[in-house]
Amino acid sequence: MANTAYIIESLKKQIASFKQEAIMEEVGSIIEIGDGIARVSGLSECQASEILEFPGATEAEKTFGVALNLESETVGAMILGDFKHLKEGDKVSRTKRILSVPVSDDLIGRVVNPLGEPIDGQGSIKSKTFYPLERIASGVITRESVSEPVQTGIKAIDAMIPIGRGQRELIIGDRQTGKTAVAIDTIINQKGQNMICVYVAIGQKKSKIARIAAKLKETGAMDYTIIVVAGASDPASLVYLSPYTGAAIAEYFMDQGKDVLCVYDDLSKQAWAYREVSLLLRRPPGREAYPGDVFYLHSRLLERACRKNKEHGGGSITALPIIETQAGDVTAYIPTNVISITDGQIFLETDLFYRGIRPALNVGISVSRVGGAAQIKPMKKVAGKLKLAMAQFRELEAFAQFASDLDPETKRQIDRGARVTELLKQPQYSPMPVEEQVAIIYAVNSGFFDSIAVSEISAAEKKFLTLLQREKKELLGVIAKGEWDEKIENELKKTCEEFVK
Amino acid sequence: MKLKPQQFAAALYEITQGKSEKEIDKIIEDFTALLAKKNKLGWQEQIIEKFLSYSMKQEGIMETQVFTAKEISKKMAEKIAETVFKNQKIKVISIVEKELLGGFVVKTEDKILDLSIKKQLQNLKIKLIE
Repeated sequence: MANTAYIIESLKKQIASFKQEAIMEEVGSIIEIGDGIARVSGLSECQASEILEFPGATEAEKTFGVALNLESETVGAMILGDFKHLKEGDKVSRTKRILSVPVSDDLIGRVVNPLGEPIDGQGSIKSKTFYPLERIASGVITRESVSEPVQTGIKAIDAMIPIGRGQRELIIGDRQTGKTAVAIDTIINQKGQNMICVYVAIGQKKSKIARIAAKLKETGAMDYTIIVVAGASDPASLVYLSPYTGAAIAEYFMDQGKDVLCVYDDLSKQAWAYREVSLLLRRPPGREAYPGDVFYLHSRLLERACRKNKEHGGGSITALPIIETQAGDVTAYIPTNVISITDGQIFLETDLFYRGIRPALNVGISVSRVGGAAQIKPMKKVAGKLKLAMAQFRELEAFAQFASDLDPETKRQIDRGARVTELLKQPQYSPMPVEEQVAIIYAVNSGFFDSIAVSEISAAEKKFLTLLQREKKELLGVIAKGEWDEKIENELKKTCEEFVK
Repeated sequence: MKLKPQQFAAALYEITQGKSEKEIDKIIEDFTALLAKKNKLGWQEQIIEKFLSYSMKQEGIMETQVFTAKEISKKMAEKIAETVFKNQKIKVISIVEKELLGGFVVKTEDKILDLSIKKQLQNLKIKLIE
């Protein structure tokens, strides 16, 4: 065959061009190994968080580790991946590379592990650029205050707890309260919003991750989403590193001037993994057995969320960290830490969830400290009233349970509140565009729905929206652009009046 | 504080420094008594090992191992080690390892220079796979 000659020829060429290289390698040897942590002697010039090369299970593949503790005689390293084949006395060599992940535009739509390797079986990802996992957050000079909104598509959040691009908004609640659902709905709603999403699954069940990936694919959200996975079966070292991988990937896109949304689901599991690694490295335990630097663990991660100004590319990273509380206890160590780091929090409660209020948002204690500046004008106008109505309703609700005869003013407020609460209910995977939110909130706030029974609200809402979509497309378009004046308000009012008739 | 063999070895080195043989005899006697008192006689071997490496480090001598496929003369091994680590006091140990096929490997406590045929073949293999 003609091919044979060619193969031999190119083989000869390869071998001829093969240069004998002699590089002085710096080596050490394992003195102690167990639970994914190795103590290594030698390596006197090793850097912190440098990648170390361990012998692999087979000769072709190497096992890697990261130097974490640099002590006088030894180096404490955590092993990334399987460690069962490693034994005392094995050779460990330096790579002189700081822990980093390969990044490229090809990552979009892929599922990768915390080392940036694809795990979705769709072939390798080509990239020449590496981003370090740990990077100092952008400085003061390069930043700008939040000015553009992230539309989550969830009525209660967009109206009352608005999130801006570059903000860090914590989603906190017990298990099974729909924390992930809020984050996933937000990702789904980013379609056509010029946003890249990174979903970091930290210590999650593989089945849950598969379900989320399938849902994102089904809704077309995978066209702008990257999933970073460290499953529940992965070693603690990978679980601990995964959010930083997500942040590094997000930074790559931000440096191109893009807006990125990064969901960390969830950081309490990362704190557990870090506690495990730290205890095995014999760092002294502190409160709840977490090491002294758990605060720094989360602050350095979330501080990387930012909004850059025009001179520095203008990109942004919005962080949506998730924290799972145990029995509603937000005064535990990790929740208080993360609450203090973030620019606001969304509280989800079991009680509300079982009362059928879904998303189970507690709007009373949920806040957004900077997002208000980013709301579009029409939303700002209608949401102010909404917040007031909800606050009054909460105050009167408990009181009204015992009173039978109420004065008309109180009754009116309670009725309005009940309707608003009903309105804010929203099923999963059905985000709503902001202009429709504005219209419906306006209608309820102005009392146009007062004549409709509470149980009929959601049906009426649907009818009202179809009417708008059919006949008032232009009006919706104007609102979506962020314009709001008397003329627009009057037109909306007229539409509502027509609808009620 | 918990004591380690390393600390015993270092202490022994420091007190025996610049002493005559007679004095050393006395020191060793006291030292053994101390070990017995501390219940650490079992550490004898580790202490000797640490003592050797510690004293070499203090005197600036590097222990170097030269691995070759075939047996070579001591002089040659020394010459190889000297070329690799210039301007250093070196103590050379020559070891024969057939697996290397050819060439040599020079190794110290935390550095390794691999110029063996085996390593070259491995590199070639990796390159061809690429």
